[in-house]
Amino acid sequence: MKVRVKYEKTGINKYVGHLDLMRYFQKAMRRAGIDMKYTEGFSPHPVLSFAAPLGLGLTTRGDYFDTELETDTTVTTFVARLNAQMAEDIKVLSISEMEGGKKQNAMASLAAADYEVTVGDAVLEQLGGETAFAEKWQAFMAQETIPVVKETKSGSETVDLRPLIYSQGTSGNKLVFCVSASSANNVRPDTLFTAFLRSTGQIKASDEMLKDGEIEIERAEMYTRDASGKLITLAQAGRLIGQV
Amino acid sequence: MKKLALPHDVLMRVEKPARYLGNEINATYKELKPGMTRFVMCFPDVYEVGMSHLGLPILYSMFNTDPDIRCERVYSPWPDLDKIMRERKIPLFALESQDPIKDFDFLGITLQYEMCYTNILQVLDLSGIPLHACDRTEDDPIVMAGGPCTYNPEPLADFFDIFYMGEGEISMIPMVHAYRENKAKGGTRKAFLRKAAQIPGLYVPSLYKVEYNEDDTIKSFTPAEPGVPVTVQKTVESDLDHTYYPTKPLVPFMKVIQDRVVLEIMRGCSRGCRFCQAGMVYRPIRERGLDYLLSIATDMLDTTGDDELCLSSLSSSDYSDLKPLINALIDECNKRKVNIELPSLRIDSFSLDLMARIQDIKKSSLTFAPEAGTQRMRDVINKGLTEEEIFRGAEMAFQGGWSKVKLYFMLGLPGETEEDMRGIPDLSNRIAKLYYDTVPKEDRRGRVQITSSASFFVPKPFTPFQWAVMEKKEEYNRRAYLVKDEFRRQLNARSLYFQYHDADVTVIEGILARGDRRLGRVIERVYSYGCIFDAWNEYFDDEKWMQAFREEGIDPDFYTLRERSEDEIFPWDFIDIGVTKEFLLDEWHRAKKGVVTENCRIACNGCGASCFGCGLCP
Repeated sequence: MKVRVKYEKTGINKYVGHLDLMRYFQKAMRRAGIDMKYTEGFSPHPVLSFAAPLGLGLTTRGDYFDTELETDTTVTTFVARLNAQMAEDIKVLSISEMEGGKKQNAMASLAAADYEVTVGDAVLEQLGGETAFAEKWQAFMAQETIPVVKETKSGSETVDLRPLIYSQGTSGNKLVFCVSASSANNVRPDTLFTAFLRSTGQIKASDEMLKDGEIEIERAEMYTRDASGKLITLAQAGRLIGQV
Repeated sequence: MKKLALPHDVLMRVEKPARYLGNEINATYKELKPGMTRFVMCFPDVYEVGMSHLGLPILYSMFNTDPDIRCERVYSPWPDLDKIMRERKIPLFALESQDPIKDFDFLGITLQYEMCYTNILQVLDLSGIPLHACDRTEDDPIVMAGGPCTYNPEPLADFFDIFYMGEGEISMIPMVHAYRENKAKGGTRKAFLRKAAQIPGLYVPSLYKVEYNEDDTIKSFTPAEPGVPVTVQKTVESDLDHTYYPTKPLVPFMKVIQDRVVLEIMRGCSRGCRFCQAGMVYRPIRERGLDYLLSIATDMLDTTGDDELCLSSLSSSDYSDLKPLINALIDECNKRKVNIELPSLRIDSFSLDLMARIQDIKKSSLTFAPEAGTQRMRDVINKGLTEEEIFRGAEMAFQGGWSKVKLYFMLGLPGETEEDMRGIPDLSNRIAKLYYDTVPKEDRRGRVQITSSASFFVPKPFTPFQWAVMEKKEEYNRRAYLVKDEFRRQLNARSLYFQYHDADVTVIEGILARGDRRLGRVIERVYSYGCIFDAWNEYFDDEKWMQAFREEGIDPDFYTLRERSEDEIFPWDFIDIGVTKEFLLDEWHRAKKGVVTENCRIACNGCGASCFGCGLCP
């Protein structure tokens, strides 16, 4: 049976790379005695398909991977068993049963993601404090277009971010936004935040700020679209079987 | 959230920050209680290499089962982090607690390879521990070493308080208990070291003095104080079925070199190949029992979730219960969808059938290690693999569908002639020809691929070749070019590939392997130039090593180009490994005459290892 697993990865695990995480989950599922489906051939392995990679230094409260189980015997205890094998600050949140073929897998059906940017004291001060921060963000969002230059294999092109931002707002020193995450129109949170910083006259790019610990970025949830085109979480796209 | 020693901005800027987190599954988080002895084990190379070593996990789990000891790990910071740590004065720390190494009671460094020696100084330096043992105070950790290079510890004598020769299962815990007793009584560091010198397997270099002859050979090596043992006998774990084994091995996040469950099936080797140090120093031959191995294998697969398992020993084909062991493991692994990585096995119908079952024949290669190009040379080195055996095995394999062969050779073996050198491409070519003679055209999938690889022979202590001469690096290169040239002239040249290793590193390795105490200064000087990670091609700098020799006024050729005289005192003679110097000398004579010595499972050759009274010895 096809299943979708939601997990969070926080704390010092932000320094663990994406490919390493994939291997980590494969081994954890073996330790947990999950009845996974394996590929044929000389080096059989389970197939895990992640919705989207998470950049180094980012945490997540809502990332997903799809996998296939051989039978459903371990599915009701899946979350508890797998959590018993987790390292500190990585936790499985839920498991859902999925229908559908390749086009409905996590990566192919991914449409949007929620991000939360926490602005550190130094940057907040440079922006003029919480109220000024909120105002500047509103001004930035009031623009009709937000053009950014995107480097591609065939050269550079200009992309308009504005229509790809589905919702947004500030609260104290936090900025939250929901942006397109489809493979054709993926909006990286640091790209959007850098564009905002430029609009306030800041020179330092947000990925540098991230490296220096001046801001933190967390992915909070991931979405697909239902039949009517509405955004639903990746978990809601399946039938929830178990959660923590 | 665990508090880390490295600040966020450093972790975000170095390669593979996961190397420095210490949050692996099965890492020990035993509570640190007051009065516990803190031990940190170090593999002086980068994390991915260090995490692949089996010895460290055995000791790690051994220490952590003791209620009074807490053991953690540290590896060499990669050069990018090394630079930052020096600039920002961040002290080297153990992974699990992230506490500075300086806070520990013991720092144990494993010596697996001579080219890691400068990394030892890196670890001490970054930890803020004085490089010289004689400069350490009561507050500094006891710095000790273990591993195969301790069988000639002398080049490192300045830097270590204690060397441990032999298997750690025996004397490590008694040593820590002696330390604790001494501390409880208010004893000094020196008092502890004196006690340590009495424990089997432990060598305290500061308690011995060396005198040299005019010609720089050793005149005498003697205890500097009364009561210090004249010889140090290595320790041997006699019962490998009732001892420590890490049944909860660490599971790293990162991909490490050996990312699998390792099953050590036996220690020691009965073949007696004359170039091989491991075959001598790990005698007597002791096997682990079949049932024991199967039970630890299943335990380890359960606790790691690894998808691959491999067997480890010096000569797995010789394990007594190999067939039932492998068959049982294959069953277990099939159930769990786990791969088995087979060790190098003697090629016969059993192993071929086995390999066909678990490997993709199209992609995998068959490995032979003739080591030498002619039968004459193979007899000199006592490598009992005849051409007939190679051809028989290869023929079976080709008929079975294999079309890739790997051959391992050495160049620079004692008494090597041009005929021996040319024998390498000649043998490779004839194996290629055998393929075309054996497999009809319609069954072939393209050309056969014979890859021959040659390394340069380095004479090691405690082998019959410890008296042998090495060559200059120009000569090694000349021989490699000769062989490469000869490969090009073979009839089946397009099926043959030849690779060889770096001669520069070979010479330095040779100097350190049979070096004496005077080399400590050279190692320190080359480190002072900023040389670390010498085992890595991209960092090794031969020029700097040569400069260090010049500035210390030491002639490197003394250690390599000189044939040792039979009555010379070697820096490692004070160590008793069981195998006697008489036996090794006799083997050296037999080598010069090209006389073979039988596998000792067939008949005992009286090497001396029977003094331990265990294992396969009669």
